[in-house]
Amino acid sequence: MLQLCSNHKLGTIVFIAILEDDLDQANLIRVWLEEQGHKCKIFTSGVSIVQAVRNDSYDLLILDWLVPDMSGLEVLDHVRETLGWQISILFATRRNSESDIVKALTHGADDYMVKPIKRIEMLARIEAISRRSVQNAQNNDIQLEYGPYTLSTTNRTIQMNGKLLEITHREFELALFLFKHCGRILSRGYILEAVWGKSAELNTRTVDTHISRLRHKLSLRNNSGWCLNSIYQHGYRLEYNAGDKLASGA
Amino acid sequence: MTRDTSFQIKLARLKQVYKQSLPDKVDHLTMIHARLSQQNDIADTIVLLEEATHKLSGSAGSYDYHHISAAAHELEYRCRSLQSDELVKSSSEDIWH
Repeated sequence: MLQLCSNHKLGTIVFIAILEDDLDQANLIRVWLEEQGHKCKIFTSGVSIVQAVRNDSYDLLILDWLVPDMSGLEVLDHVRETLGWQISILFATRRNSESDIVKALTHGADDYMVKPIKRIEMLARIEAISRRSVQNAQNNDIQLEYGPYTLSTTNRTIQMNGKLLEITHREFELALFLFKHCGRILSRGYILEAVWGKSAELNTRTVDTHISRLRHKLSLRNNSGWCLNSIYQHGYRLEYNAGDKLASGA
Repeated sequence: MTRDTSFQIKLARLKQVYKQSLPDKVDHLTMIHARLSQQNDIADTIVLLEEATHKLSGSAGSYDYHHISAAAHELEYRCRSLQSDELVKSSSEDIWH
């Protein structure tokens, strides 16, 4: 399985998800892109790529329009609605009418290619998207400091004492939410709704699982001064205790 | 093995596989076309034909089979026109030629 984390230069396109139900086409695009150093994963249905972007961090989605379960346009809408604009999206489809191209771009696609896809053109377009992405990231990046932790809101990265941590997109969202609400008791349901969205068809065990991973990855235990505590029958609270930090010598 | 060589080998292998799959793709289109003679599900069959030609027109062009891509696209376009015009009662000959 492809291990994904946002640990590369701000805005650079590295991880690419390809939504394409024609494997002849998908495999060809993957070979083209991997030769350029990108890491690619192929998805053959709209639902599968939507599930993947919930938990993994992709820099670019390449979407076909006509695919099983959900159309590429529906995937685009979902991504923009739930993840905002940090993921670049390139449409690659046989649909070539002016109205389709306009529709995709107005719904939030960064670029649009009509099949048959040409290798050099696709690479050039991805390079152009990457340039814009880097520029936007540099212009808009906000670094949030919480003791030893530095959260970059654009690149979705967390550094601990200057060391980049391997976290997924969802783990970043959860960490950001917890740090912003430091000291407050947060119910599982509230966390679920805030981080996964109102329409999330998930239960609160998802929160428990992610909290556990985050606690481990960020060392949110007493000895660091920062502690992510379970609150019995309610939820969680992130706490900072300067005394513990001094006592532990951290 | 250099990175360029590895890339060329992967590309050549994919193209070979694609080339070998073309007769099956044509058989698939022929089979769908044959179903058009069965008058009871022409609309559904045209949708199937459109999907098959849609895929073929996209992939064939990327694999440098431009004539196949163009022919498949033409067929796809005819299928779509038939659907939009609700001319599903047209004979299969109208689509194929």
